[in-house]
Amino acid sequence: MLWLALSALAAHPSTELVTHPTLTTLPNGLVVLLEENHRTDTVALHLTYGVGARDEQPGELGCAHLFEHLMFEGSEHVPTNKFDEWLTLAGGDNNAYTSEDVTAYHMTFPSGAADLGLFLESDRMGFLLSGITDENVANQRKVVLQERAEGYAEPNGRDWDALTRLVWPEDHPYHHPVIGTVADVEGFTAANTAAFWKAHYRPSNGVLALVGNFDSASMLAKVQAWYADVPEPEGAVGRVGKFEEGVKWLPANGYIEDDVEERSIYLAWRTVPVGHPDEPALDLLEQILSGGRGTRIDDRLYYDTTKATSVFAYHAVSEVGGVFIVAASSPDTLLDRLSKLITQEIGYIPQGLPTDAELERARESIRASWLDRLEDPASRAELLVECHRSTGRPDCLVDEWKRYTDVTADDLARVTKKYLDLETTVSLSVVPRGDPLFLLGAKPVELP
Amino acid sequence: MIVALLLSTAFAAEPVAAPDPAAAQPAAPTGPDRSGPPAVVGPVLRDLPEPEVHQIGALTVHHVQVEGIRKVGLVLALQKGSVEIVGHPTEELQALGDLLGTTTAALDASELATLLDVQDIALQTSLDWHQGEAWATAPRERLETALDVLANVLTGEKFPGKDVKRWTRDRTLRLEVTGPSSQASVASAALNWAWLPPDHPYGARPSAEDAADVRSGRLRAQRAAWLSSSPLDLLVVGDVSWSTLEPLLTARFAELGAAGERPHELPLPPSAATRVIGVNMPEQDQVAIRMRVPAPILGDPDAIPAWALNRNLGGTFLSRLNGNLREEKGYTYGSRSSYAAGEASGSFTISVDVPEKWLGSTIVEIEGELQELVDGGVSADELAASWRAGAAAWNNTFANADTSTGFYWTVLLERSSVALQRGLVHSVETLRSEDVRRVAARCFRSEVPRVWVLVGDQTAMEPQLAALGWQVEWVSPEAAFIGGF
Repeated sequence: MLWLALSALAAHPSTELVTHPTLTTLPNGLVVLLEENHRTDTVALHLTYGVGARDEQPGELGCAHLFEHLMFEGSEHVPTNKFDEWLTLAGGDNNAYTSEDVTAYHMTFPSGAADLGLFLESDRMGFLLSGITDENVANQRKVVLQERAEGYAEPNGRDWDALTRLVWPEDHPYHHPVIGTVADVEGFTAANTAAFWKAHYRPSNGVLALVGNFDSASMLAKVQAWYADVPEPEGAVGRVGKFEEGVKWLPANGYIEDDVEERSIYLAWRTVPVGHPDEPALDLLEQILSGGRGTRIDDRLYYDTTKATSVFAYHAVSEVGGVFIVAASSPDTLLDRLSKLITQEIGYIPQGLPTDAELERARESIRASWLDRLEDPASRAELLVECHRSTGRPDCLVDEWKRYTDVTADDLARVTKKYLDLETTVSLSVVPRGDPLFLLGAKPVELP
Repeated sequence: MIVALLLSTAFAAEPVAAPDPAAAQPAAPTGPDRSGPPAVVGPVLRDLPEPEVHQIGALTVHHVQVEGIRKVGLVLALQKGSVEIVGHPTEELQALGDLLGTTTAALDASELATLLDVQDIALQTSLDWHQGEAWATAPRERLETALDVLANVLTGEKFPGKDVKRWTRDRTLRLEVTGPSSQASVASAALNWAWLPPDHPYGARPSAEDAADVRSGRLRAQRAAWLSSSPLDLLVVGDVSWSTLEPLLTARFAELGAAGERPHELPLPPSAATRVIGVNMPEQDQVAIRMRVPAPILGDPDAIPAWALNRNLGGTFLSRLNGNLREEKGYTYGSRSSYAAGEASGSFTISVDVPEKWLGSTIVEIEGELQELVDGGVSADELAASWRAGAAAWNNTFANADTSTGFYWTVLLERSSVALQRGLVHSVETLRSEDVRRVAARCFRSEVPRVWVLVGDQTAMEPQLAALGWQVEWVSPEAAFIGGF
C-alpha cells in the first residue's frame, strides 16, 4: 500500500493555492488587502512597511530595528504603555520583526475588537513622534543592546552577523547587521531618529492585510475611516540599494572565535533577489542538496557518514540580492575536509543531474510550506502581503507555483554553475576560543 | 461611533486588480474619534463539538470532524511509558521514542522520508514517562497514506544499526559537549534536575555510557513488547467523517494494542527548603536566571486562578515581570513565567536573562513582584484581560490542524471534556482579585521553598548572591546538564 502511495505522483486539488483577497488603495496610498475566514473568531492584521536595515545611513545603523521597538511605546492618542495594555485588555496580541528590507507589525484580536486594533495601528502610522520621548528611546536602547547581548551569548549566536559582513562588501546596504552597531544604537535620541521615521513611515510605503472573521465591506469601511486622517507626506520614499545583474563578486575567507565546542563552516555565494527568474531553481537546489534524509549533502555528511553533526543549506532571498548558504558543524572533522565534501556535492549537480523524483520532492516541500502558511489566518495575512510586495498581486501563488513546476534539471545545473562558482566562495569558520583550526588564510571578522 | 464611521466612507472593495488611485477619491477626509480606545464587543465563546468516541478492537478512537481544515491531525497514543515499562526513563527508551518513525518493514529511511515529503505528511514520535505518542498531520486526501505510515512504523520499525549509531553519537555529543556549552540549555536542564529528585522515577539521570550500549535488536524487541501490551488511543481531528474513517482504521488497527487503562501520574515530594544552584560558566557576560515553585494541580479549585496569576505575572509581553524588568528597568530583552499543571504535580517557572551586573537587582525585583501579588492580587483590568485572552484562544481553536488537534489532545490528556474546558474558560470571567491573591499567597509567600538556578560567571555572581545572604551549591555546566548534583 505504501509503495503505491510512493509511486503515485502527488495530485493536488486545483484550488489549493488560490486566494481571494480584495485589494483597495486608499487615497493616502495605503494598500489594503482583505480576506474573510470564518473558521475562527479572530482577525489577523499584518502591516509591512518598506523600510529595513538597508535604508540606514552611517550613524543610524540599527534605526529601523529601534523603531520596531518604539512603535509600541505610544503615539499621540495612545499614551505610553497603553498600546499593549488596551490591546491585551481586548484579548489581542501582537509582535513585530525587522529585516534588511522591511519592518512588519502583526496583531491578532477578536473580531469584536476590530476598531480598537485599527485605531492603535493607524495612530502609530500617522502620529507616532508626538508620543515618543527621550525616556522611551533611552529605555529601548538598553533593551535592544540586551537583545543583541542575549543573542550573542548563545553558541553560534554571532554566526549570521559575521557571515553577512563577509558576503556583502562594505558599500552594500546588507553589509551591516539588522540590529545595528553598538556605537550607533547608544547614540540614538528622540530627536536624531525622527527624520528616519518621517522618511519611511507613511501610508504609501505600507501594505496592510486583514484576514479573519469579518464582512469585507464593513471591514473596509472601518479601515477607510481609521486611516482617513493619516496623512501622506509630500515626496517619494527613497530606498537604498538595487540589484545589479552581472556583478563579479569577490571571494572572502573569515573566521570568528566563540564559546562553542564544535567547529562550523559556512560556505556562501551571492545569488539573486526575490522575483528573479532564477530564484525558483536556486530554492529547489537548496532542497535537493539538504532537504532531509535522502538528499545529497545531508546523506553525505550526516546520515550516511559521521563527518558532521549538523548540516543545512539555505537560499536566503531578499529584495536587493540573495545568498545561498551551505553549513556544517563537527567536533572532530577538519573544516577544510567539510568544505571539500560540500563543494564536491555541489559539483556533482551539473554532472549527475537531479532526478525527477528529487525535483518532485523538492517542489512538494516548498508547496507544503506555502499551504501550511495559507491555513492559519495570521501567516496567511503575511503571505498575502509578501505576494503583493514581490509581484504586485496578493493572489500570486498560482503563478508562483508555475515558476517552480517549470524548472528542469538542466536549470539546476545552469544555476549551480552560474551562481555557486567556487571562485567567488565566501567562507566563514567558527571555532572555539584559542582553536587555530579555521580555514587556511581566514581573517578575523569583527562585529561592530 | 461605528455607525457614523460606516456612513462616512464611500470606497468599495474590488477584486484583485492593478491599483487605480484615481478611482478612489475621497469626498473629504474626516478624522475618526481618537479621544480614547474604541469600545470592544464581546467576546462570546464559540460552540466546539465534543469528540465522538468509538472502539475498534483495543483501539479507542476520539473523532472530531472540523469542516474546511485542509489537514487531518492524528495522534496515536500508546498508554504505557517508561515508568510502566521499566520503572523510569532509560537511554534505551529515549532512543526508542526518538528513532521510531525512521523506517517501516517495507521502506528504508530515505524512502520513508521521501514519501512523507512528497505526500506532505508530518510525523513525530516520542516516549515519555507514562505514554508514547506518534503525531501525524496529512492533507485529507492523503489520510490513507498517513494511517499506513502510523501503523507501519509501530509494527515494522527496524531501527537500522547505522541510525542507532548516529543516535548514540548525537546523544553523547549533546550530553557531554553541546548541551553544557549553552547557557539556556544548562539553565533549563539544571532546573529540571533540581526539581526531580534522583531517587524518584521521573528523576532518572541521562547517561552517555548507557547511550553507548543501545542496540537495534533490543529496540526492536522493546518496540514489539510495548505495542502488544499498551492500550491505544487515537485522536482524529479534521474534515473527515466517521463513515469514511471507520473502515480505514479497522483495516489497520483492529489487531493492535491491548486492553487496559491509561496510567496515572506520580506525585512529586515537596521541597523542604529553598535550594540555589549556581552553575559556573566563566567569562560569560550574561546570567540566566530560573526559579520554580510548586503550583496547583489539574482539578484543584485554584488551577484557574493560578492560570490567571501566571498570565499576569509573566505569561504575556505586558505582564508584570516584563513590564518591570524590560520596559521599566531595561535589564532584559524579555522575562516570562509559565504554569504547568499535571494530574499529580504543578509548577510555576520564572525565566529571565540579564547582564551579570543586574543579577542581584533582578532577584530583588522578582521577589518584589511576587510579594505584590501576595499582598494585593491583580487588578480588575488584569482579570478582564485574562478572561478575554482565554476566550480569544478558545475562539481561535480551529485556526488550523495543529491548533485544532492540540486543543482536543489537551482535552484527552486532562481526562476532560469540551464542556468542562468551556466551563473553565467561562470561570475566568467571574474570577475575583481575591481568588488570585489567595493562590499567590499559597505559592509565592516568602516561606514557600523555591528552586533557583543561576548560570553565569561565578566570580561575578558570588558577591551579589552573598549580599542577598544566599547559600549556593556551585556546580559545573557538565554536571548541571545531566543532573550530577
